[in-house]
Amino acid sequence: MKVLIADDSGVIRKIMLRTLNSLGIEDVSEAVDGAEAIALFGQGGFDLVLTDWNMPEKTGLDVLKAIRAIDQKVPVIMVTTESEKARVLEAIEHGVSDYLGKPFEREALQAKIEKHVGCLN
Amino acid sequence: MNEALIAPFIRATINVFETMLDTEARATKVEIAKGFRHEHDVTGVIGLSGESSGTVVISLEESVALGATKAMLCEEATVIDDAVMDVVGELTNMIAGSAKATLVGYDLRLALPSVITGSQHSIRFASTVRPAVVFFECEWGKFSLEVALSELPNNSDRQAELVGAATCPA
Repeated sequence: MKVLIADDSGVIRKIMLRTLNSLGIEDVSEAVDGAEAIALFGQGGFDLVLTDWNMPEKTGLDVLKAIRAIDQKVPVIMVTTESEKARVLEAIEHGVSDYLGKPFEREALQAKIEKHVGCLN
Repeated sequence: MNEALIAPFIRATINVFETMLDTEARATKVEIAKGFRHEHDVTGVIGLSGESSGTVVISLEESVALGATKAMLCEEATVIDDAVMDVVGELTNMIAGSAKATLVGYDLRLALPSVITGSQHSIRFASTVRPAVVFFECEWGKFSLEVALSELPNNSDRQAELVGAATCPA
């Protein structure tokens, strides 16, 4: 299981990393902006992506579009403050697998990850 | 600034502290700022743009910033370092983001947060907007939330919608 996390906040990346590690997922790549996320995903082999929406260089929506252009199946979970209905619908339109608004309970993040990791197992 | 506009930000602050930090934030006073000087040690700033525009500023005593960092990262922090500033930036982002989701019809977009350290700093807002300041207390000390947001021109429907949203339970 290889996971890509993309968030310009080191705090959120750390929380995501801890949650993944607690689920036994150790192979995790971190991107600090959207452009790095797209570049890392292009290297291949990812089974799950967690991405923020508001990031420097490229947004999480740009990341989602880039991923869907080459991979229709990999689960992409958007973890973001952009929780308005219009934003959620825009992400769904572009193929997001799941959506988690910030702030979030750690248990909610874990449940979202488990749901999609479970689908892969 | 319309007093109704501050309510979503107060509620967002309380919700973010409860959800991410597992602690209670209590609003103790609200006032319209007149040359308010931030006496606290670390301040997060984020811009809002869209049909309205403005700035959200959260300023924390060092003890609050350190307590928040420990609660969020499960790591002891003793000085304001990169990790602490990252936590303050993310709290600012979450508070502004949660509030803007409540401001139906404003179509606001968030800028990326910035963090300032050092006491006695002041932040100048556009002269057309009078910011509101909310003073808070929590288990680690005091902090303040300052919001300057321009009002939509003569749109009573949206104002009514906002007031309705602001009085709904979280």
